[in-house]
Formats: sequence, structure tokens, C-alpha cells
Amino acid sequence: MKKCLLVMVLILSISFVFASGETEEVLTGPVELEFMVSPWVGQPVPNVDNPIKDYILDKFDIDIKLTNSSEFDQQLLVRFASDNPPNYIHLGNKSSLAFQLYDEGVLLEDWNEYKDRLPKTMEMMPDIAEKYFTVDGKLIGLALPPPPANWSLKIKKTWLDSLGMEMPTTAEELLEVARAFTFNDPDGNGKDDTYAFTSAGGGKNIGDLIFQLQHMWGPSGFYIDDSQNIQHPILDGNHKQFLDFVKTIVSEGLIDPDWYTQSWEQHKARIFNDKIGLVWYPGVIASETENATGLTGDTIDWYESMPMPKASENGGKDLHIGIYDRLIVVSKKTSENEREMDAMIRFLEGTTLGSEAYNAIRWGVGAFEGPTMVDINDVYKYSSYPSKDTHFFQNFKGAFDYGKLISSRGDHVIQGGTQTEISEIALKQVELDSTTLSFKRYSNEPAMLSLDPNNTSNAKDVLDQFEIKYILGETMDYEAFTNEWLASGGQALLEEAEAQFKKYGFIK
Amino acid sequence: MKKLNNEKVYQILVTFIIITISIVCLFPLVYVFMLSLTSKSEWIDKEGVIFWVNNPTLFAYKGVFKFGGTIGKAFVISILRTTVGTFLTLIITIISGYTMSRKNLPGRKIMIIMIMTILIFNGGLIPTYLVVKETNLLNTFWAMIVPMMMYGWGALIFKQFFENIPAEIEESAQMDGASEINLMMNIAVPISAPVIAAIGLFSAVIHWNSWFDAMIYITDPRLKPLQLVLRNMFVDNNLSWATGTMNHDPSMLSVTDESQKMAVAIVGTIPILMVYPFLQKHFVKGVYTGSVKG
Repeated sequence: MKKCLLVMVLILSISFVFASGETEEVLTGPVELEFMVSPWVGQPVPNVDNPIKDYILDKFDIDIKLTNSSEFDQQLLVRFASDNPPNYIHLGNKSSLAFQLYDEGVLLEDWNEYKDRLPKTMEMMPDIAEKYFTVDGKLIGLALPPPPANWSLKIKKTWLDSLGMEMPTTAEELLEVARAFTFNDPDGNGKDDTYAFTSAGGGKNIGDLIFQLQHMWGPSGFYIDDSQNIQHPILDGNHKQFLDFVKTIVSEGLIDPDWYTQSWEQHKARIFNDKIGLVWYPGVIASETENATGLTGDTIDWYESMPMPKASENGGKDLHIGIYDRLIVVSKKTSENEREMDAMIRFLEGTTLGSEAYNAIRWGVGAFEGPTMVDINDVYKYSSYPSKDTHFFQNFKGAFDYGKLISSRGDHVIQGGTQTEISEIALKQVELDSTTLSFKRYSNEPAMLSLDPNNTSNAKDVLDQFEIKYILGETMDYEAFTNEWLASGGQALLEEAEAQFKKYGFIK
Repeated sequence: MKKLNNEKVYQILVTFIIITISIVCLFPLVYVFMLSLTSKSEWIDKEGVIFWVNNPTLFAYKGVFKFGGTIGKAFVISILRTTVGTFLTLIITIISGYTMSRKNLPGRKIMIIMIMTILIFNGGLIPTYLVVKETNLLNTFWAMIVPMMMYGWGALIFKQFFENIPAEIEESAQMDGASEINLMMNIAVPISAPVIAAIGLFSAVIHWNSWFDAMIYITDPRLKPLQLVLRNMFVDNNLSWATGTMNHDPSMLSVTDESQKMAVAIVGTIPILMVYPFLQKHFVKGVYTGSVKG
């Protein structure tokens, strides 16, 4: 017993070593600021010998404390409710959280007061985002332009070539190509093992088919029609035509049989296995396929970006882009502390997209030995490093989360790892993404809608249940579904969307 | 003869049911383990359906231990938390249980009601956070220890056990001049070793598995326990977003994200899985200790 007690006293003494108390505010030296983010990686990063932390200290005189929480919303609300908020909060695309915190009066009230001190930051902020985040004339947060639209249909060019077919431009042509992809042995292996389409429904819904196909007829959500009226595909007939098309591809066996049940990762396995002809993916599919198949170089030319086929007068465009990327808010407490606010402005203005500090914090270029960045063309850049062993981010992957604080996909950086020369894969990705950037897209006004989550969830449940039943032929009564959808929240959403469009001045 | 046949059928049926249930229970564990050993190429060949791995790789585990220092430090914190936390919980719980077992204690009923109340209700996340903040425990090792020191259910178990100690033993000790503290330390505690083991084990498992309190109270990376680090690896792990749109480094892409997550799950499970078989009997004791009076 005495020995046990002795051991426990020893352990208690050791544990005191790990204990550290709260400290008083220091008014000289670097400014201590806490930055909170929902992490990409979430792994701990050392406080000492941390070149990114040191870089921020040298450049901005800020002793940065990075708080990355996987239960971000909950932890953030607890922190605010307990009057112990972080200084800088990266809200990502959580605009509703920003509005909620603003309503509670715990955020910096109006960024308009700092506009003249943040010229580069304000210049980057899109007008539509500024409008969206302005409440009663007060700007509640800072946002970046939306990420570049790099998702689009990718078609197996090698299959098209082997079948002697052209890229489809209409729904009928798409169906013909799909039949050939499925039944005419496009890979020439003598086996009936290919499909035109796939999806990853995860047993819950029809997955990404909506992005692949519904846009042939029109937008997939609320939109404003030519007569300035609010519309929705369930009410304008587009959704029914889309479901009829899906029903055809399912009944003819043109789609991977596991499309409704498989997960995203499982569906990727089938794509990389050369079994699928059409996928909804960004240009990174070129490098992902190459990496998955052993970097042989054989798959680089598999895909080509394909514009959305047109099935109606207003159809044939891709999904709209968002209105912003990366929303930043600052706590009211910080705004009341002049020293902290000065440091915050130094950081925000010094880390704008493309700046030296941006590249250092996001990609390590200039923060430590190794990483370099070169231009691929006027838009895209290529970053690499000679050795993984000396790369701080590679040894402490959690350090990537510093980069998330300021990151934007609008930097157009392609990370090449230890391959220092710009590779064919990188060039293919640039080609795929550049082509996608040129595609027509639906108006992004609907991205400003912030609709009631309960009604949205209820209406979506009804939609998900009906879609699979309709596709499998278990029901044909579209009218009954429309009524049920309206009753379960669709009508309320319609009215709410109309009110919001009016508020933003999109309709009179 | 007929009776023998019926018995045989019964035995075969029972064996079949038990084997089926065992397979159903074990399959997810085996699947998790197999997936943690699966290379990306095999994952693609088998299109994500893995029952057996032909070419196992430890790359996913290498990924978990790659930032060995981090995992190692988190492991030390978890061990410290579990040992210190359990020790202090036992001390407070034993003292509370002993005090409540004294029938002549003024306010005993109120004390029991208070303990019962915290079994049913708690202060809630924000009030508890405020208490931890105001007591300057935020971002310290003790934020994971102090709020969990009072283990209400354990205290009631101890109370029940101490009440069943024959009065004659205590009376004879009192006649020899033993004080209440002597009675507790030299009579009650030594004979309650099985209860201490059971409650200690429950407390240890709770401490070992806890991550939420650390997530809320701790921001210093040096103080994060293993379960929180592993959970973050499991939940976040969006390296493809972090590293950019493309990466040619084959070693980073030898296994899928799923395999990486399964390796994390295995690493988090193994330590407590290794302890369990040796201490399982105490768990069983813990369930019925104090439930029989007299």
C-alpha cells in the first residue's frame, strides 16, 4: 500500500510538469492571438521549432495560437457563451453561424470602419459577398472570391476514340454514347464489364447524378425565370424529365449497378479500375487516376472535360459557382483591444491571396528551406519541394492547418510533391480545369439563399424517398409527390426564397 | 433414442446460432483490421470489398506513427491522465462513500440526495466550462482530472459496501481507540479491495476513452491526450484538401484515406483491448457489488 502511494505521489509530481496556468495579459512584445479553424488535418504541431509560427511572429509580430477543433461549431459556441472567444475565426462557408453570432452581438460589428486600412482585403471581396454579409448596413465578416469552378463532367476520351464517336451535346446523343460505352466493349478487353455512368448514393439518395444530368434541363434548385418569377425544377417539369432519363439508364443497365448503395470511396475504386465512361469530377482526376494506377503515365489521356449536354432551351449549363470562399470573423472583444486589432489588420492585409506571406504560410515557400513555386501559365502555379524529410508540413501534417486560415483555391496552385519538374499530369490537370472554367454556368444568385434548415431537411427527405421509388418504378404519381413536397416544407421554402430574392433586389 | 436426437439437434442449433452471432460481431473488427492493411492498388482491384488481404502493407500504421513524437506525447498524457485521474477519483470517491455510510452523520440524507442528483443531472456544458475557466484550470492538465474526481455512482457503491461491514469489527477497533480516519484507512479500505479494483477500472476506462473534455478545455497541443489526437486524425484527415489539388508523391498515396482511418481505429483500441481480458472479472464484480444488501 505504501509503495502504491509512493508511486502515485511520483506520478502526481510528474503531472505537475504538464500543468500550466492562465497568464496575465502582456502589453509589450508580440501580440498573442488565438486563431480558430475547423481543421483539414487536426494533428498537433509543435510550439517550438515551428517555422510557420516563427514566420508569423517575425512578419506580423503575432504569437499565434492555432486552435483546431473537429467539433468546431460546438466548441466555438461554448467559447463565446463563456466570454472566452478566440480572436480570429475561420468560418469557412458557415454563413448561418456568422449571422447567429452577429445577432448575439459577440462579433466585430462593422468592417466598413476598417475598409481604408484593409484596401487589398476589401478589393478581393466580391460585391455579391459584401452584399450578402451586410446586415443593416454593417459588414459582419470578410470573404474571398468563390473557388474556381473546376467540377464538371469528365468523359473517357479514349473510349470515344475507340468507338469513333463524338462528344455528346444533347440528351439523346448522351444516351447513344452511354449505350455504346456499356455494350460495345469500349476498352477492347472482350468483356462486358463497362458502364457509362456511376454515382455514390451511399444508400441515402441518388448521389451526384443530380450534378451529372439534371442540369441538362435547367438549374437544380430555386431560380428566377425569364418572367422574374421564382421557380423550382419540381414545379417547372425539369426534375420529372431528369428522373425519366435516370429511369431509362437504370432500366437499360447503363449505370454501375451499385450506384445507389456505394460510398464515394467505393465508387472511386471502380472509376480508377477503368470501368466507367462518364464521371462528375474536378481536373484532379488525372493525377488521382495516375496515382491509383501506379504512375505509369498510361491514364493521363483518359479524360476530357465535357460541357453539359443541352436538353431544353434553358438547360445545358453547369452548376452555379458560390458567392464567396472562406469567411473570416473577429470577436467583439478583439475589436475592443486596439493592440490586438492592429495586429489582426496587419495579418489580414499581409496575407492576401498571392502575397509573399500567403505563399509562406499556405505552401511553406520562403518560410523554410525547400519549397519552391513556379508559374505554369498566367493562371496556374506549380509548387514542389526536393525532399519530403526536410519538409515541415510533411513531418507535421497538422501545419497545413495554418494554411487553411488564409487559403483560397483561387490561388490556382498545383502541388507536385517531390517532383520538382512540371509533369505531364500537372499539365493535364491544368488543361481539364481550364476547359471547365470556360463552361457556361447557371446564375449564382441562388447561392445567396439562406433557407430554414427544418423545412429544407423535411422537403429533401420527401424528395430522396420519391426519387428512388420513381426510378425503380415503384411509383409513377409525380403529382402526388409534388403536393407532398410542397406540404412538407417546399411551399414554405418557395415563399422564403422569394422573400430573400426580393430583399436582395433580384426580383421586384 | 428420440431424446438423444432432439438433444443433438438442439446442440447443433445452439452452436450454429452462437457461431453466426460471433461472426456478425467479429466481422466488423476483422474488416477494420483487414482494411488497415490494404494497399490502394488492392482496394481498387477489389473495388472496395475487402474480406482478406493478399498483399498486406503496414503503410497506414507508418502514417499513424510517422509523427511519432506527437503520438508518443499524447500517449504519455493519456497514461498520466488515466493513472492520476483514477487515483484521485478513488480517493474522493472512497472518502465520500465512507462519509455517507456513517449513519449518525448530520445532513447525511441531503448529501446522498445531492450525489443522486448529479447522477441524473449535470451542470451542462457551458456552466461547467465557466467553472473550469474561473478556477484557472483551462488549458491545464488538471482540467481533465478535477471535474471528473467526484464519481457519484462509485461513491454510492462504496457507501453500500461500507454499510455492510459488520458493526462488531468497527466496534472492536473503536474500543482499541481507533478514530474515524483510522477506521476508514485501516479497516474499511483494506477489506474493500475488490470494490476499489472494480470502481478503479471503470474510472480508468472512462479516463482512457475521454476526448470531449480535452477538446473543450485544452488548446495546448502538448496536453492533448491520445484519444483526442486519434479522433482528430480519424475525423479530419483531409490531406487531399490540405496538400493541394495534386500530389505526385507515391508514398503519400499508397493507402486510401479509409485504410488510414482504420489504422487509427486499431491503434486507439489495442491498449485497452490488451488490458481488458486481465481485468474483466473486476468489471463483472463491479456490476453486482453493492446490489445485494445484508
